[in-house]
Amino acid sequence: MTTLRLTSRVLHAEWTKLWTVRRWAAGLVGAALLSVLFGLLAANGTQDNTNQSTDLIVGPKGLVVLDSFRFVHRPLTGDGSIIARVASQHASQPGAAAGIMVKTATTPGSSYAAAIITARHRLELSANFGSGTSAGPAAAPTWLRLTRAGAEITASRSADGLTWHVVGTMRLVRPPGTVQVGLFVSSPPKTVVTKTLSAISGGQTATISRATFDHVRLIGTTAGTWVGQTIGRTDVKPPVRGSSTQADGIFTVTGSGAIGPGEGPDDPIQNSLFGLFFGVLVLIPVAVLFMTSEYRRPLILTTFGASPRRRRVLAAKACIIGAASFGTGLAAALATYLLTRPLFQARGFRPPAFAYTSLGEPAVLRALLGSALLAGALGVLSMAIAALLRRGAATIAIVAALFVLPVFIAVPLPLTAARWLMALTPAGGLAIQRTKPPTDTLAEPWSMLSPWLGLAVVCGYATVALALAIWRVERRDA
Amino acid sequence: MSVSTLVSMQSTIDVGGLTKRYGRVVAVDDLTFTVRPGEVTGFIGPNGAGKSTTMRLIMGLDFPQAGTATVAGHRYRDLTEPLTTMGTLLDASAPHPARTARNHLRWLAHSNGISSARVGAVLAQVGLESAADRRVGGFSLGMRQRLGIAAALLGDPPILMLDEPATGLDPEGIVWIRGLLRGLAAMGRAVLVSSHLMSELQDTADHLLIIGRGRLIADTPTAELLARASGDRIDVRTQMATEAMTVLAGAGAVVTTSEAQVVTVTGLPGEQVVSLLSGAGVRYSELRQHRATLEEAYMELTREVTEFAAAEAS
Repeated sequence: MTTLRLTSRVLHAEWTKLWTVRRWAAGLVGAALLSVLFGLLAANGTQDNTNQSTDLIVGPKGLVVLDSFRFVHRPLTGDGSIIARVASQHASQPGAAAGIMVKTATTPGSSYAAAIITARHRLELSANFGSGTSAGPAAAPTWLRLTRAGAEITASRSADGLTWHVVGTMRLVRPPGTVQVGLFVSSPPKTVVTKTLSAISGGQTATISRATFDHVRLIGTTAGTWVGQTIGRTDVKPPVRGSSTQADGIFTVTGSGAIGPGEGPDDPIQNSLFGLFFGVLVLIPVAVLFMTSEYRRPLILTTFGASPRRRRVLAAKACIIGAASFGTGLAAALATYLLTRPLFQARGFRPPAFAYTSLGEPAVLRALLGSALLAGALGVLSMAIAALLRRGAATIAIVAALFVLPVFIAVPLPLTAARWLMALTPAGGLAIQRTKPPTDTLAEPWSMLSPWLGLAVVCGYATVALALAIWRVERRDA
Repeated sequence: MSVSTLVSMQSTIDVGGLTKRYGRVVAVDDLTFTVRPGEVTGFIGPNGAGKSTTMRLIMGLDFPQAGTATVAGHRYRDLTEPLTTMGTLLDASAPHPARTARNHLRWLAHSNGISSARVGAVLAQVGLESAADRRVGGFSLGMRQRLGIAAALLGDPPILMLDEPATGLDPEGIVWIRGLLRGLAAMGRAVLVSSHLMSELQDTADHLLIIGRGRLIADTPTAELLARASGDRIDVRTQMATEAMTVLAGAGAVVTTSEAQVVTVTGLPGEQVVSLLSGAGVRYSELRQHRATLEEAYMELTREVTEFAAAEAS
């Protein structure tokens, strides 16, 4: 008899056990409904006014962007190339960048393509305010070249200005005949998060970085001379303006500001998916009862009498409750997403301040599937602790404490302590519901964790608890 | 097929040197016995004697400190489809109250790859067809026992082990279960049935395992035990019980009376009892060889054990 066949029998038996107790099935449905309900309440209670502000910088894709830096540029008419060696870089902070750029206009938000040496010593290609793609390690001095052919920009690098390697291509959006090409330096502001018992606020201080360029050459039809210009503006205090000087073919450029996506950290999808937090409070008792009902009456004798391999029974139970919780979480997340999307758009969460988030976007899929995985992992964790303790009330209290309490404890804690608390407890799993990058500036403490780290923590808890439960149950009298 | 294979495939429960302590309490103390096929074996002892514990040890549910237990030659834990080897009823309250009888049997059937047709068949066999789709929570104790027996029969196993299956059954149910157990044994199955009530198994069990304080007191055919316990005693049914006792005691007999108008005489042959009573003018309506009940046999056995224990202690 194959292990697979025996395992599928135990799975079938445990599945039958789950659906034949109506109140458990009702509990799972109730958990999903409760999650959706709280999601709708959250969506209904929010309003965002970013779109009403008059000075939004909107990028070529119709979304708010950050577009401030120091640009030393000349016009290029038709096809051609800009070549420069980044000779040195003095970065004041890790997000700082120096490189060469082709930009359709000097107006903030206009389409661009750039090859960048970052302060983290990477060569990065960036176009049109996307998140950028890394093209390997690189540090000054490095030769860079951008070649325009219509809308297509080809980036190359070289160690000596003689042997060139193409590292990638980018596309400009609706480029005019004449574009601006040149050198640039950016240096994003530092975010300082201040946290008090009742509030969290993020302040920004400007930073400035410097780079020198030489062997600057423009191939193609041009006019005029090199012009140094500060593009865009920052609201950051104190106001910092870049500068640029040229002597003996060496350009010294200082710059401040950042180029990239401009959406704020607020995450309406996460705010609505957070309804699962309440649904889980119904889900956990179902998962616990699925296990402790075996012990409340001596059903476990019948169970182990029918399937003496206890390891297999517990694994099957974990699979079934995990899958049922996953299904509940997925149904709740999908329904929440679909139902709240129009609500959010009606309440200011729409372009340009907020992107339309379609179901096919990786971050959205990650948040929805991640919510389901979070529910599944919590189901397994609850069932495993229940198998260890054989006490329903105590298990529910412990799982709820592990998942719920850290959220409330972390809110008034200092940032570092709060981050550790999130990284060490299943509460951090809520990070998987975010569709935006981690940030320290939100009141929700799990926003500090990266999504996958948060999910990994919960899965780690579930795995360890299940392993302990199997170890214990195999050695203990039934 | 070798002899050893034949032996190992026999439908038996084998217990050897089984010992289980819970903390300092010895629940099962060096127990050794074999349950044979084709017989109903009664497992008898007062509450707390270790019957249920022994059954849990046989099923590998609890772990013994010493000894072994095999079912059809295998450790129960090693059986891949245990329900088709040994059917068990340990506790009639086990099924979840929110499940219907049919659904309880369904998951059991799934767990051992038993066809769903068996579920309906065993429900019919125990007379629960009409209640099959009702929740177990609303069942009487008798109905739960029937469901437990249905679960034991589900895999059509050659061995059955039932813990107090008659508890909660009405008189009709008790008659039914006796017939069921006799029938199962007659088909060659090994049937181990426990009870704390001696009378319950008197007419059902072919063989008896008597247990007290975790120890095996007797492992004997029922008929033999009863014959031994009956001894040389004679029952005299008379309306002149006092006179009869005086006369017989005067002749050196041990005389007791267990029920009104019945005098039990030990130590005198029947002929002498007849002549003594006739000589004294004591009228009697019946005089017969005493037939011991299982209770008496048990009392006698446990008295011996208690005395032995007392003597050992002093």
